[in-house]
Amino acid sequence: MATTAPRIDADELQEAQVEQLTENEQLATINADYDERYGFHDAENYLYKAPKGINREIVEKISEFKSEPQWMRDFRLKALEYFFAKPQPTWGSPMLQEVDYDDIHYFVRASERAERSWDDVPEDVKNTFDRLGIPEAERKFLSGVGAQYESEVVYHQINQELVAKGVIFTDMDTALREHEELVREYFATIIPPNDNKLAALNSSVWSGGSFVYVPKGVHVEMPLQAYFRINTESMGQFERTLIIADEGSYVHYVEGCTAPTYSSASLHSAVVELIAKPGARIRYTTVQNWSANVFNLVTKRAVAYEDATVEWVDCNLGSKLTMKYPSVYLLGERAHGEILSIAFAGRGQHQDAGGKIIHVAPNTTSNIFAKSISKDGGRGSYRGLLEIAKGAHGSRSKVVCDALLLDETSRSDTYPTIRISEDDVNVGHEATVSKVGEDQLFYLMSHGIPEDEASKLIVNGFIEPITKELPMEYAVEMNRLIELQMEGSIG
Amino acid sequence: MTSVIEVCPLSELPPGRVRIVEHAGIEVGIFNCNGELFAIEDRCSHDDGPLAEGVIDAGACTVECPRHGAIFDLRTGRPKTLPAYEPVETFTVTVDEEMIKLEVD
Amino acid sequence: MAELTAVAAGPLAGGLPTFKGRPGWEFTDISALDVSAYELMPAAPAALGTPTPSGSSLWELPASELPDGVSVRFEDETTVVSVGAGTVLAAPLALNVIVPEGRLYNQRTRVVLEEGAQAEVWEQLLSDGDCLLNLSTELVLGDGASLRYVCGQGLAEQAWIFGAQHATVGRDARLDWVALGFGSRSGHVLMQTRLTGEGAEARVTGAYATHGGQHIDFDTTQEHAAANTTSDLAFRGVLTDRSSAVWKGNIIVDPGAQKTDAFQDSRNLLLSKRAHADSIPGLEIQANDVRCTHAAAVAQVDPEQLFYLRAHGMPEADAKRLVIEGFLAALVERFEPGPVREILGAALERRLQLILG
Repeated sequence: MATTAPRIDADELQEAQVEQLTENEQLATINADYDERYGFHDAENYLYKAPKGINREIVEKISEFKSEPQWMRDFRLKALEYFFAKPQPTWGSPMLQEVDYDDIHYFVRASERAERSWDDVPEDVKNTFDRLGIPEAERKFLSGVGAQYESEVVYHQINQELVAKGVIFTDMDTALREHEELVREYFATIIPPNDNKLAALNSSVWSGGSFVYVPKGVHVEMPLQAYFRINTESMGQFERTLIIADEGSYVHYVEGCTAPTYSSASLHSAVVELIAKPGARIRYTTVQNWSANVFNLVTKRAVAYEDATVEWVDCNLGSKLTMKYPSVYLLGERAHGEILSIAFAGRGQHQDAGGKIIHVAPNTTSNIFAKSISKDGGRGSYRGLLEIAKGAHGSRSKVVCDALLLDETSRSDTYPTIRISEDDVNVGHEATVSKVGEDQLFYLMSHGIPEDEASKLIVNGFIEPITKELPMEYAVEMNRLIELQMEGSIG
Repeated sequence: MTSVIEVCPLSELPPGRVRIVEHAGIEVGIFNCNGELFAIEDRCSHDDGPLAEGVIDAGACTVECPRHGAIFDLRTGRPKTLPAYEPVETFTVTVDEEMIKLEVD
Repeated sequence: MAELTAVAAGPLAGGLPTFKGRPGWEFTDISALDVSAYELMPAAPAALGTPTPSGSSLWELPASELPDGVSVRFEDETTVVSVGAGTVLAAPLALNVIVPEGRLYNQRTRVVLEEGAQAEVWEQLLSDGDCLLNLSTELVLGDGASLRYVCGQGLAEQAWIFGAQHATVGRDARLDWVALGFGSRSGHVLMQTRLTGEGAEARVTGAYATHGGQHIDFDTTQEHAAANTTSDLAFRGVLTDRSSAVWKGNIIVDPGAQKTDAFQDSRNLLLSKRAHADSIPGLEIQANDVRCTHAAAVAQVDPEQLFYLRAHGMPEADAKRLVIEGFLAALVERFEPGPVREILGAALERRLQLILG
């Protein structure tokens, strides 16, 4: 799947910009394959590109560039020591051993600052996002948008009504400057820098990402959206996101990620911390479509207090290796955690995804619903933890993992762990691995539907319970992308 | 039944340091936080591994688990950050004629 | 740890863990084990049929005359049961291992059934007190053979058990494996089934019931190495006081093992606040035309069942007891009516009586 796209020169970019695509045409272009749509990359006109490798100097330079307070600089340097001290994890996927930390650029600055108006965003960066259809979506569907290109956020906009209500949605760098005390109170309390090697790495070189604060009782009706794009070869992207939903508030945050198709590896290692205070609800949706050379190793964790809810909707389509287990700690009574996960593993890919839910308080509930599809030798793994700690009596949880293997060479693994320390609970876990049912196929074909269409319908039906939770344009895109993958396998 | 065991002379546990003792199968860490003494179980509730050898912040009165960074409050035994969420036991520690003593069950 | 054989030393290959949380040993803490406290006992053949110390046995089966084609020998420190091609051993063959207090004993058993053979072997593991039993079992089923192997662990509750048990099931052969975990304070028992011939079938049933500070650890594997194979694993446990259990189970389907039908079900009933259960089912599937399902559940006594019984006039304590018995008895219903149901049912009932009082 990994092919090198031809270099695109400035003239071609200009031409692309001139085309004014209507909405229908945009939807139709989703049908094009990945290389054409995302696989392009721009000539690099950067303000600064760090040399490869990681060391104290680079970390200090990053902190300097951002004019950070001393405590953040100290935090980064301490995290760097943890990173060096920890060995590369040996569980998960053997592909982890291929990550070469010395062969990555840890910081690239594309523009001076985050712009508020699309017109002010540097030309080529704007073109990239135009091609991806972002400003269009923003005008129609969203409460706010952040766009990160390489290491930093280049565009950020938030609906002014929300600002008036006290909602904060900025990139993390800006948040540290303008809301330092708020950030300091919560930063790294959910995922300490020493939590694991990749969290330590992110803690030392983090750049960009989002900061969201929703005040008490405020409901942000339309989603807040962030786009992440890696452009440079051998680039590492380390965004850091922190979302705090104060009592009784609601917010839905959506992120999408892509990168050009290169043959050398890129590394994406994000850290996302969510805090849902009593009565609050946070939904965090990710559609990950990194190209097949990206190592996607992410730590995402949430805490939910009394009567609060956190929902992770996690879709993994791209990357060479993804290891990601969004988790929810149910710390207050009647809190609820939900993880909906789709993973599609094609040729050469390993999606090692899943989720963790830890019931700490009594009468808490949770659901994990994971679907995975493997084809052309791809490997889809579900890895999860469901834990009911002592004291979490009255808790109920259901985990369902289903996997569809589309051919003989593909692989599916399921590694759930269930740990129960309370007697008054109800916990169920089921997992099934199968192929496209012959009965179903036969039924559809006997109604005049050709075999490849029928297979696509069945696969769509397989993931439908989760795709219906996605915002419309993502759901449409997801279905198209999966159809595309399917066409490869049946043709 | 509570017993009192001698830990060490006060002079041997300067501020910002810890002394670990073992009694009846449990290990306890005695910490000196800027003059005040606290004792908690030498166990991180996240993975049941040793805790007391972690980094001590005498000012905040906390210890950080060396493996995954969970920070424990030395006064209460409660974790202040994930990945730990269950508290660990605390013990009463006194100084009697310059000798540090620990009360255990 | 020189006394432990290489096979049983598998889980301990990295050395004794220094603390409970060490990766790979998160579930079973064996830091209290002092191997040097046990005196190595020379290997001896397992006794056939009764006698057993009275009161502590799980079942009593008489020794029966072995027909032609069946032999029980002791060679290379192993009790070897051989059943020749086409031979049918109708009466169950009972093996009893009784470890004296304070001893370390290596019990090696090998059951080999040649083509078309049929047999039933019941192996009982008991002890006079605290001991360390290191168990190594091998079950080999030739094409078309049929074996029922019941392994009842009823050691004293201060004893340690480490077991490595492997079964190979050939073409069209059938294995019916039952494991009971009643005694011991802690340990680790590996139960691996490998279906190597087309049409092979394995049914693995496990039951455990613990109290006090007991800890039970079962690690099962169902490996499908051939097409058209079937496996069905069901483990159930009842835990009271502050006892704990961990069951880890893997279904592995090798590439090419199409039309595999594999099932795995683990359920735990926790009857006290301090009881603890861990279930780690797993699937590693590399063939696509298969049906593989696993399920794990932990629950309390089903309130609906309780309500039903009480509405029919039964006092609460009795109703609860009945529901708990029913929970384990459901396993017994996997077998055909007759002696096996009776013996297993009785053993489960006695054990429940002991832990529930």
